Amino acid sequence: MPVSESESGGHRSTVIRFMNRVSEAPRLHQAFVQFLGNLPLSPSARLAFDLTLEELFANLVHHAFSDWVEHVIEFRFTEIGEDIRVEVIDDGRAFDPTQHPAPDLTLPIEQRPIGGLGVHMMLKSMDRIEYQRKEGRNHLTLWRRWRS
Amino acid sequence: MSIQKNILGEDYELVVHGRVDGALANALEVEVLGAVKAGAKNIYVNFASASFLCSAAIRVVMQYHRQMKNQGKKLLISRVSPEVDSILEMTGFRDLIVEKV
Repeated sequence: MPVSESESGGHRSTVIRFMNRVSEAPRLHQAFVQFLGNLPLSPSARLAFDLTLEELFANLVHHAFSDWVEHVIEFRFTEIGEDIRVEVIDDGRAFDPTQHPAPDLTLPIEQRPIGGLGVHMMLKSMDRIEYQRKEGRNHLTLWRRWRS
Repeated sequence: MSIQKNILGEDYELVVHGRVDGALANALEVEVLGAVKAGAKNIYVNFASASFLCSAAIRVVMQYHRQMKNQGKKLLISRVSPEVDSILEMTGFRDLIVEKV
Protein backbone atom coordinates (compact mmCIF):
# COMPACT_ATOMS: atom_id res chain seq x y z
CA MET A 1 0.00 0.00 0.00
CA PRO A 2 1.24 3.53 -0.71
CA VAL A 3 2.90 5.30 2.22
CA SER A 4 1.49 8.59 1.00
CA GLU A 5 -0.47 10.00 -1.87
CA SER A 6 -0.55 13.70 -2.60
CA GLU A 7 -1.52 16.26 -5.16
CA SER A 8 0.01 19.70 -5.32
CA GLY A 9 0.46 22.19 -8.13
CA GLY A 10 -1.37 19.78 -10.43
CA HIS A 11 1.26 17.07 -9.77
CA ARG A 12 -0.13 13.77 -8.54
CA SER A 13 2.34 11.79 -6.46
CA THR A 14 2.58 8.43 -4.67
CA VAL A 15 5.31 7.21 -2.32
CA ILE A 16 5.67 3.52 -1.60
CA ARG A 17 8.37 1.50 0.15
CA PHE A 18 9.62 -2.01 -0.49
CA MET A 19 12.03 -4.40 1.19
CA ASN A 20 15.02 -5.66 -0.80
CA ARG A 21 13.42 -9.01 -1.55
CA VAL A 22 12.77 -10.61 -4.93
CA SER A 23 9.23 -11.37 -3.77
CA GLU A 24 8.49 -7.62 -3.61
CA ALA A 25 8.81 -7.18 -7.40
CA PRO A 26 5.16 -8.01 -8.21
CA ARG A 27 4.04 -5.54 -5.53
CA LEU A 28 6.10 -2.79 -7.21
CA HIS A 29 4.46 -3.60 -10.55
CA GLN A 30 1.01 -3.51 -8.94
CA ALA A 31 1.77 -0.23 -7.15
CA PHE A 32 2.75 1.43 -10.43
CA VAL A 33 -0.35 0.13 -12.20
CA GLN A 34 -2.43 1.48 -9.31
CA PHE A 35 -0.67 4.86 -9.55
CA LEU A 36 -1.40 5.06 -13.29
CA GLY A 37 -5.11 4.54 -12.73
CA ASN A 38 -6.91 5.59 -15.89
CA LEU A 39 -4.00 7.56 -17.36
CA PRO A 40 -4.02 6.61 -21.07
CA LEU A 41 -0.37 5.63 -21.43
CA SER A 42 0.87 4.75 -24.91
CA PRO A 43 1.77 1.05 -25.27
CA SER A 44 5.45 1.94 -25.70
CA ALA A 45 5.45 4.11 -22.56
CA ARG A 46 3.76 1.32 -20.59
CA LEU A 47 6.37 -1.19 -21.78
CA ALA A 48 9.21 1.26 -21.06
CA PHE A 49 8.13 1.78 -17.45
CA ASP A 50 7.37 -1.91 -16.94
CA LEU A 51 10.87 -2.85 -18.15
CA THR A 52 12.61 -0.10 -16.23
CA LEU A 53 10.94 -0.85 -12.89
CA GLU A 54 11.53 -4.60 -13.23
CA GLU A 55 15.20 -4.20 -14.15
CA LEU A 56 15.88 -1.45 -11.63
CA PHE A 57 14.36 -3.38 -8.74
CA ALA A 58 16.08 -6.66 -9.71
CA ASN A 59 19.41 -4.83 -9.91
CA LEU A 60 18.94 -3.34 -6.46
CA VAL A 61 17.90 -6.63 -4.85
CA HIS A 62 20.72 -8.63 -6.45
CA HIS A 63 23.61 -6.16 -6.43
CA ALA A 64 23.09 -3.16 -4.11
CA PHE A 65 23.48 -4.79 -0.71
CA SER A 66 26.31 -6.94 0.59
CA ASP A 67 24.93 -7.68 4.07
CA TRP A 68 22.06 -9.89 5.22
CA VAL A 69 20.07 -7.06 6.73
CA GLU A 70 16.75 -6.02 5.23
CA HIS A 71 16.82 -2.64 3.53
CA VAL A 72 14.05 -0.28 2.50
CA ILE A 73 13.85 0.95 -1.09
CA GLU A 74 11.61 3.96 -1.60
CA PHE A 75 9.81 4.74 -4.86
CA ARG A 76 8.00 7.99 -5.58
CA PHE A 77 5.87 8.18 -8.74
CA THR A 78 4.81 11.64 -9.93
CA GLU A 79 2.71 12.70 -12.89
CA ILE A 80 4.00 16.05 -14.16
CA GLY A 81 2.12 17.21 -17.26
CA GLU A 82 3.25 15.00 -20.13
CA ASP A 83 5.88 13.23 -18.01
CA ILE A 84 5.93 10.56 -15.36
CA ARG A 85 8.82 10.92 -12.96
CA VAL A 86 10.07 7.99 -10.89
CA GLU A 87 12.39 8.69 -7.96
CA VAL A 88 14.17 5.83 -6.23
CA ILE A 89 16.10 6.10 -2.97
CA ASP A 90 18.14 3.27 -1.42
CA ASP A 91 21.02 2.92 1.02
CA GLY A 92 22.90 0.32 -1.00
CA ARG A 93 26.38 0.64 -2.44
CA ALA A 94 26.94 3.65 -4.69
CA PHE A 95 25.95 2.87 -8.26
CA ASP A 96 25.43 5.36 -11.05
CA PRO A 97 23.70 3.56 -13.92
CA THR A 98 24.23 6.54 -16.24
CA GLN A 99 27.98 5.82 -16.12
CA HIS A 100 27.57 2.10 -16.78
CA PRO A 101 29.34 1.09 -20.01
CA ALA A 102 26.95 0.11 -22.78
CA PRO A 103 27.15 -3.54 -23.87
CA ASP A 104 28.66 -4.18 -27.29
CA LEU A 105 25.60 -5.27 -29.28
CA THR A 106 27.71 -5.89 -32.38
CA LEU A 107 29.43 -8.91 -30.80
CA PRO A 108 28.16 -12.32 -31.88
CA ILE A 109 25.65 -13.72 -29.40
CA GLU A 110 28.12 -16.41 -28.38
CA GLN A 111 30.61 -13.77 -27.20
CA ARG A 112 28.26 -11.37 -25.42
CA PRO A 113 28.80 -10.84 -21.69
CA ILE A 114 25.93 -12.20 -19.59
CA GLY A 115 25.59 -9.13 -17.31
CA GLY A 116 24.73 -5.48 -17.90
CA LEU A 117 21.63 -6.01 -20.03
CA GLY A 118 19.17 -4.73 -17.44
CA VAL A 119 20.88 -1.35 -17.05
CA HIS A 120 21.09 -1.01 -20.83
CA MET A 121 17.35 -1.71 -21.14
CA MET A 122 16.60 0.90 -18.48
CA LEU A 123 18.79 3.57 -20.11
CA LYS A 124 17.24 2.91 -23.53
CA SER A 125 13.67 3.00 -22.19
CA MET A 126 13.72 6.33 -20.34
CA ASP A 127 13.93 9.87 -21.74
CA ARG A 128 16.20 11.14 -18.96
CA ILE A 129 17.93 9.67 -15.92
CA GLU A 130 19.77 11.56 -13.17
CA TYR A 131 21.84 10.09 -10.36
CA GLN A 132 23.07 11.60 -7.10
CA ARG A 133 24.75 10.12 -4.05
CA LYS A 134 23.56 12.01 -0.96
CA GLU A 135 24.19 11.16 2.71
CA GLY A 136 25.08 7.55 1.97
CA ARG A 137 22.06 6.98 -0.30
CA ASN A 138 21.54 6.55 -4.00
CA HIS A 139 18.99 8.96 -5.48
CA LEU A 140 17.93 7.95 -8.96
CA THR A 141 15.39 10.01 -10.91
CA LEU A 142 13.90 8.88 -14.19
CA TRP A 143 11.57 10.68 -16.59
CA ARG A 144 9.59 9.55 -19.57
CA ARG A 145 6.70 11.01 -21.56
CA TRP A 146 3.60 8.92 -21.10
CA ARG A 147 1.71 9.79 -24.32
CA SER A 148 4.37 8.64 -26.81
CA MET B 1 1.35 -16.51 -16.78
CA SER B 2 2.40 -20.02 -17.64
CA ILE B 3 4.62 -22.20 -19.78
CA GLN B 4 3.13 -24.82 -22.06
CA LYS B 5 5.34 -27.63 -23.38
CA ASN B 6 4.82 -29.27 -26.80
CA ILE B 7 7.02 -32.24 -27.73
CA LEU B 8 7.44 -33.54 -31.26
CA GLY B 9 10.10 -36.24 -31.29
CA GLU B 10 13.36 -34.58 -30.26
CA ASP B 11 11.96 -31.07 -30.77
CA TYR B 12 10.56 -29.18 -27.81
CA GLU B 13 8.48 -26.03 -28.02
CA LEU B 14 8.03 -23.99 -24.85
CA VAL B 15 5.13 -21.54 -25.19
CA VAL B 16 5.47 -18.76 -22.65
CA HIS B 17 2.37 -16.74 -21.78
CA GLY B 18 2.02 -13.40 -20.03
CA ARG B 19 4.50 -11.15 -18.32
CA VAL B 20 7.93 -12.79 -18.32
CA ASP B 21 9.37 -11.27 -15.15
CA GLY B 22 12.12 -12.68 -12.91
CA ALA B 23 9.88 -15.40 -11.46
CA LEU B 24 8.72 -16.62 -14.88
CA ALA B 25 12.32 -16.42 -16.15
CA ASN B 26 13.27 -18.88 -13.38
CA ALA B 27 10.37 -21.15 -14.37
CA LEU B 28 11.52 -20.96 -18.00
CA GLU B 29 15.03 -22.04 -16.98
CA VAL B 30 13.57 -25.05 -15.14
CA GLU B 31 11.60 -26.04 -18.27
CA VAL B 32 14.62 -25.58 -20.54
CA LEU B 33 16.78 -27.66 -18.20
CA GLY B 34 14.10 -30.34 -18.15
CA ALA B 35 14.05 -30.45 -21.96
CA VAL B 36 17.86 -30.59 -22.10
CA LYS B 37 17.93 -33.48 -19.61
CA ALA B 38 15.19 -35.28 -21.55
CA GLY B 39 17.50 -35.24 -24.60
CA ALA B 40 15.91 -32.47 -26.68
CA LYS B 41 17.79 -31.83 -29.91
CA ASN B 42 16.04 -28.56 -30.69
CA ILE B 43 14.29 -26.27 -28.23
CA TYR B 44 12.08 -23.46 -29.53
CA VAL B 45 10.84 -20.80 -27.13
CA ASN B 46 7.59 -19.22 -28.30
CA PHE B 47 7.02 -15.70 -26.93
CA ALA B 48 4.03 -14.86 -29.20
CA SER B 49 1.76 -14.61 -26.13
CA ALA B 50 4.30 -12.87 -23.90
CA SER B 51 3.56 -9.23 -23.10
CA PHE B 52 6.92 -8.46 -21.52
CA LEU B 53 10.42 -9.94 -21.32
CA CYS B 54 12.93 -9.10 -18.58
CA SER B 55 16.71 -9.34 -18.94
CA ALA B 56 16.78 -12.48 -16.75
CA ALA B 57 14.68 -14.29 -19.37
CA ILE B 58 16.99 -13.09 -22.16
CA ARG B 59 19.94 -14.41 -20.16
CA VAL B 60 18.26 -17.83 -19.88
CA VAL B 61 17.75 -17.95 -23.66
CA MET B 62 21.30 -16.72 -24.35
CA GLN B 63 22.95 -19.09 -21.87
CA TYR B 64 21.18 -22.22 -23.11
CA HIS B 65 21.49 -21.15 -26.75
CA ARG B 66 25.27 -21.23 -26.23
CA GLN B 67 25.21 -24.49 -24.31
CA MET B 68 23.03 -26.25 -26.91
CA LYS B 69 25.11 -24.88 -29.79
CA ASN B 70 28.29 -26.26 -28.22
CA GLN B 71 26.63 -29.68 -28.28
CA GLY B 72 25.56 -29.35 -31.91
CA LYS B 73 21.95 -28.69 -30.86
CA LYS B 74 19.68 -25.63 -31.04
CA LEU B 75 17.75 -23.33 -28.75
CA LEU B 76 16.03 -20.52 -30.59
CA ILE B 77 13.04 -18.22 -30.28
CA SER B 78 10.28 -19.37 -32.62
CA ARG B 79 7.71 -16.56 -32.32
CA VAL B 80 7.49 -13.16 -30.67
CA SER B 81 4.83 -10.64 -29.73
CA PRO B 82 5.39 -6.99 -30.82
CA GLU B 83 6.48 -6.16 -27.25
CA VAL B 84 9.02 -8.97 -27.09
CA ASP B 85 10.24 -8.09 -30.59
CA SER B 86 10.95 -4.50 -29.56
CA ILE B 87 12.81 -5.68 -26.42
CA LEU B 88 14.93 -8.10 -28.45
CA GLU B 89 15.70 -5.34 -30.94
CA MET B 90 16.69 -2.97 -28.12
CA THR B 91 19.07 -5.56 -26.68
CA GLY B 92 20.43 -6.82 -30.01
CA PHE B 93 19.05 -10.33 -29.69
CA ARG B 94 16.77 -10.54 -32.74
CA ASP B 95 19.26 -13.01 -34.24
CA LEU B 96 17.85 -15.60 -31.85
CA ILE B 97 14.48 -15.53 -33.60
CA VAL B 98 13.74 -18.18 -36.19
CA GLU B 99 10.52 -18.77 -38.07
CA LYS B 100 10.47 -22.51 -37.54
CA VAL B 101 7.64 -24.00 -35.54
